[in-house]
Amino acid sequence: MNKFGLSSVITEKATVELLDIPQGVKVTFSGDIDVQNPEPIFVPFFEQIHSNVIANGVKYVELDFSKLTFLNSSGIKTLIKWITKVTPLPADQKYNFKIIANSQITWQETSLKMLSMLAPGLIEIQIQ
Amino acid sequence: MKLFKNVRNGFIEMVFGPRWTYIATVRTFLQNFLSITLADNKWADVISMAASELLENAVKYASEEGTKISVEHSKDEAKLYLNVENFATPENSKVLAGEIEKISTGDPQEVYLQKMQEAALRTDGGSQLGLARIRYESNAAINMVVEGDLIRVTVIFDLK
Ligand SMILES: Nc1ncnc2c1ncn2[C@@H]1O[C@H](COP(=O)(O)OP(=O)(O)O)[C@@H](O)[C@H]1O
Ligand SMILES: [Mg+2]
Repeated sequence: MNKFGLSSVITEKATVELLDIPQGVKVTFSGDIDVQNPEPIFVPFFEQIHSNVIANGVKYVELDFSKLTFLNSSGIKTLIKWITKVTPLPADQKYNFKIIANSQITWQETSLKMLSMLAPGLIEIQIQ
Repeated sequence: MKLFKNVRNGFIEMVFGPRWTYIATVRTFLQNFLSITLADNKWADVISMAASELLENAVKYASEEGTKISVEHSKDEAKLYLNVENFATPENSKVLAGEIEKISTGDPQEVYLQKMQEAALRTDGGSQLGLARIRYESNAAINMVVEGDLIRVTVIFDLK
């Protein structure tokens, strides 16, 4: 459950869920994101999280990819769209991300490190 | 019938009518196949990711049915060749040639970062990220050959 009342996005092969954590909120990704057009599926969900985070003054969003086995480049684009919404925000609305990557899943270290480079200073990455 | 003798190199070839739902199956198969063929499992992961990105393109941009994917492991050179063929319009061939040129001349990480920044601003379905991602994650060389309306994209992984 989460304080924003948002339900998870569940596709045939992937689940993306929003959870409350003491420091803010956490989004967990699991399965494979490999659909042809992930934007209409995920972008509205990310946008809802984004506006709720700002409206509620949440400052910390954890993105946990440790159970996501595959992510295609169109899926990467949906994350880019979210992250690059935060960089232009005024300081009082900005929030921080922490990306959790799984060292056992080869693409994660490289791909997710690049995401953190998109918003220097706003994203911390933890490889476990 | 066409069968050639290739005893020195590990080789696999698949021809299929491109359908999105087959891509994951081929990716998983290649991942398993390559983890037997190659000593380092990381390469199996990277190469199957690249195959998946190329097949996505073959499905999205093919002007007609038919896709061929082949993988050849040259042990002597310590290289692996991944080829994907499909039919394409001259417009898409041109875009692809331009993309390959751009990706191949710059630093892989800088090019990928720049493409990510551009992708954020795109509102069409495309991301123009797939090829840059392959190059950044594998450091492989990407080439293409055009023969009439048939194109072949080759990614060469240096396994050394
Ligand atoms: N197999 C292909 N056949 C025809 N055109 C292609 C092919 N692969 C790529 N292209 C062209 O190259 C561009 C870049 O591909 P890519 O980097 O994977 O981005 P995306 O898939 O998001 O469009 C595509 O938009 C397309 O115009
Ligand atoms: Mg692509």
